[in-house]
Amino acid sequence: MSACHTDGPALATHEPTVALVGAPNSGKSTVFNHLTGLRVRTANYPGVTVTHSVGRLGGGGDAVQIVDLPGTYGLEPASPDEQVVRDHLDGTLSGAPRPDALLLVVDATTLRRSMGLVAAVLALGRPTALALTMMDELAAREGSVDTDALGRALGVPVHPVVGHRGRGIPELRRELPDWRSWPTVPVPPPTDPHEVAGWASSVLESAAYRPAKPSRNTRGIDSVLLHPVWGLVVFAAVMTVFFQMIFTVAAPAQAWVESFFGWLGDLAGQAITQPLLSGFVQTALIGGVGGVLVFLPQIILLFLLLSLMEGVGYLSRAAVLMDRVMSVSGLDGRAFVAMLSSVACAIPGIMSTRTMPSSRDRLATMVAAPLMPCSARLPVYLLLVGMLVPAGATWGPFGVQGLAMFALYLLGGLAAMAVASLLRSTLLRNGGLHFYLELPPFRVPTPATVLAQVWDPVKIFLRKVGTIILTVTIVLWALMTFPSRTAETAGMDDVDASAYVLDHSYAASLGHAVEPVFEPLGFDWRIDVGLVGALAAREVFVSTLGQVVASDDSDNPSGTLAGLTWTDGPKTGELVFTPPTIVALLVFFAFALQCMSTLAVMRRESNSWRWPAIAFFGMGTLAWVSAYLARTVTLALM
Amino acid sequence: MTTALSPAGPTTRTLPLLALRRGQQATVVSVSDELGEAAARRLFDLGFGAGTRVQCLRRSPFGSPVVYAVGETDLCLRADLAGAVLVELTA
Repeated sequence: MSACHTDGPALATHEPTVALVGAPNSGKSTVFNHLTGLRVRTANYPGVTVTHSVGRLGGGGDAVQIVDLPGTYGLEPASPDEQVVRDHLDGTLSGAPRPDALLLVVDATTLRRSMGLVAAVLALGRPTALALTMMDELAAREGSVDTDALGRALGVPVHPVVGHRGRGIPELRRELPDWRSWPTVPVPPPTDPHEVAGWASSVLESAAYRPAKPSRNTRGIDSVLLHPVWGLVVFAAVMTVFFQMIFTVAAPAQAWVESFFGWLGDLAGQAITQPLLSGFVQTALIGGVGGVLVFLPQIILLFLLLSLMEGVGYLSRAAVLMDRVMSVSGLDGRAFVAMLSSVACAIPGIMSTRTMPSSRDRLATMVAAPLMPCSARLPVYLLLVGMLVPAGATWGPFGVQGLAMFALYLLGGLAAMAVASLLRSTLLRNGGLHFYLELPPFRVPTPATVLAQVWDPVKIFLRKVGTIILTVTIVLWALMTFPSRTAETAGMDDVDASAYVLDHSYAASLGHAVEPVFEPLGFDWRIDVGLVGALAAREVFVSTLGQVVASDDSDNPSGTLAGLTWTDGPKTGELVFTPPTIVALLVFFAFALQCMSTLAVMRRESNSWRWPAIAFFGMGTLAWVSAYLARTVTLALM
Repeated sequence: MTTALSPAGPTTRTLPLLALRRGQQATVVSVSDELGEAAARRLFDLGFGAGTRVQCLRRSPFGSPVVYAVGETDLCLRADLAGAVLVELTA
């Protein structure tokens, strides 16, 4: 299991382990973050995409490992995902030791509801303590509970905690290394639903529990946010701001990263006189590192916004609003944000699926997300649509170029929903979980939790995904540079020399080799070389194609491309970029999963190569067939 | 709040949770296991114990999902789960 060789604090197997058990929204992660700080590793469970976090109690004293189990409402597993959590608690998972003691984290404002979980955990007969969170909210909503009496009634120590102020955390820190002194309950409480209620009532009565009144603020805000009309208006506004932030804040930051590494690359290129080494350092090494770091602004911003929306409680409201729409694709409302994020880039989109509780929903979303029209497709679409449709063409009041772009975006969105639906009814059917979602009261998120939720994906991306992207960049550079042509290009200028090298490179051989596969779509070997380049990132297609045809302006090679003719085969002399070919190429780009970075992140998040392989070949087939059909239809219409 | 167990059979005033109109209040009578034992158990863990007070807070224009106040929490359910909970209207 991957947990064995992951990074993070050195973990000795003999170190005692305390597991945090609690319901979603109980403040469990806040308690965990307070106790462990940022030195935390996230580990996959075998066979499912559910993860748990492992950290260590900071500060002095005996070392204690702390495991944050996925949030759960009960210990009776309702799905394979929940079964592994149960197995972890029972110690039957290889690589994840049986926790020595359990710290229950219970939201004081949902105490009665939580008694079923409390009973089930106490019945495990492990040394147990209970952290009672949201004590300030309980008081504010006119509820109360005598924590000492609750501890006596339950038979375990109870610690009141106010997570976002850090109150009660120092006491918990002192208590944890002492877990051996935590009692096990002599007479386990009943776990049968019919008996739990009576037990819960007697415990709560002796603790003088007065439940919190419904939060007026939350009810008031929800009457707008969940309103059939106003709710959707607010939702549209929030998503617009969300998107605007990504494009107006992250996009310039990405441009800075790109131009910084471009500048660094130029500097290295000038400083190193040996041309091959210079090319390696400039394009493969610096270009590769830049190609990894360029994703960071988007990942940081997206997770910051998602974490804030989740912390406040809006994400669950958005999921309620979108559930009906998403159910068409066999998913639920929680998949919506991942899909929407993928319109910016599938990489943060795929990473954001980790909040989804069902493995099957999560995998279906991950595989479908790359079909969403990501921003890297935009330069390709702009180039090709510009070549296909004259700039001034109109259809009624609309510009045809704009309509074509809209159609391409619509195509991507519909394809994503269709593929998710297909997967949920074939490979990933029977999730085992019925959809339910708690709408927690609106709360102010704690900075520590937000920070942890941003830092975790950044760390994983850099360590696990960055290395794959860097490797792919270096391999692609080598394919497009070798064999070396120093002698042949001696007298040429830079543009002709780079075109000559590329035209006689291994990438070109690859382009020629796959030409028969793509010939029915109207692609010649030079387009195929562009497709090889696009494996690094889709937008690289434009500059690679520019380089292949030795265009003077490799960032906008449409002029040179328009005059390009077939150099071999039966079509010799005919134009390459005819309307049917351009249409086929557009459709191919809409569907094909050429982005190696996406495959790398899919590998990391699904914990196997199986799903990236299914996505790559499945979407490749879909792309080829659809491009062929689109070409045939266009030919028939011409 | 009463925690009495459910009466044996449905009475005339018993209806599925799904049938509640927006704003209507009711008390949980029982959870049917028509969706399987695991789903029934989960509904209990989510707070649908016999005697718990529920109120329908939001119905979607398409009938599903529906938002309920259940005891101390607000929950969103789809029609299938909401159909498996039997409630009795409170006057």
